[in-house]
Amino acid sequence: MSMGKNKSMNIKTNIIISRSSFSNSDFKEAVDLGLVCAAFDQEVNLIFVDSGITNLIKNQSAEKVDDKNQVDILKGLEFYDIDNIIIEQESLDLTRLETSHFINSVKIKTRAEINKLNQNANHLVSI
Amino acid sequence: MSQLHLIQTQFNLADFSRLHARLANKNDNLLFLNDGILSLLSVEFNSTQFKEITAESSILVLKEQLEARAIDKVIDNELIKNISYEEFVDYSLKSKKMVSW
Repeated sequence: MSMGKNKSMNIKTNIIISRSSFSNSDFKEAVDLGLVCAAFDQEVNLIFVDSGITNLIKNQSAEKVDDKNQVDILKGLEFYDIDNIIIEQESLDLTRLETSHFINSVKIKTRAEINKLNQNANHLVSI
Repeated sequence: MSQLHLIQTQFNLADFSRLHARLANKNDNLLFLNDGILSLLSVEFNSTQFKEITAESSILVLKEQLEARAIDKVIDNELIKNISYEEFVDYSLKSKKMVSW
């Protein structure tokens, strides 16, 4: 099932996530918003910055703290043509994390590249 | 008798340094938990400066929370002791009081 093959309206929405999912529902709300936008044929970029990048670490086991693995909700995004899951390089550089710590589908982009994406977006939502 | 300080929000090293300077007893135990754990991911918290600041203190982190976030292998530092929830309770009982930051 692909709900976004025809991007006739060509509206671009960038969603920026800057906080970890363990303390709030930001991550889930951001992904839900992305799915809604994609269902209306918008192009969606999910952009992770600051501690938001920790949402994308693979092999999380949130059940150890009686929580749900939020990262699992990203698995279905490709069916909605959301294939731009982006980590800001500068945020990554401030941590001891490496690209290998993240799920496979992420793309690393510099702040300048992300700024360009944001300039070209019709809607920019920071969560 | 030492105090147990709970660091529950994300700190940068400058903030942490100021917090540590305010501790009356430098031998106090400092426990990183919840989003405070993310502080330890920072390259700053693996620096000589961090080691100097915490030379006299015990730095603790909740093991289950590290594993839940899959960062237990990343935060592998001889200065930081991973403790279980049961040990957290022990530290709480042995401490004169707890301070949450």
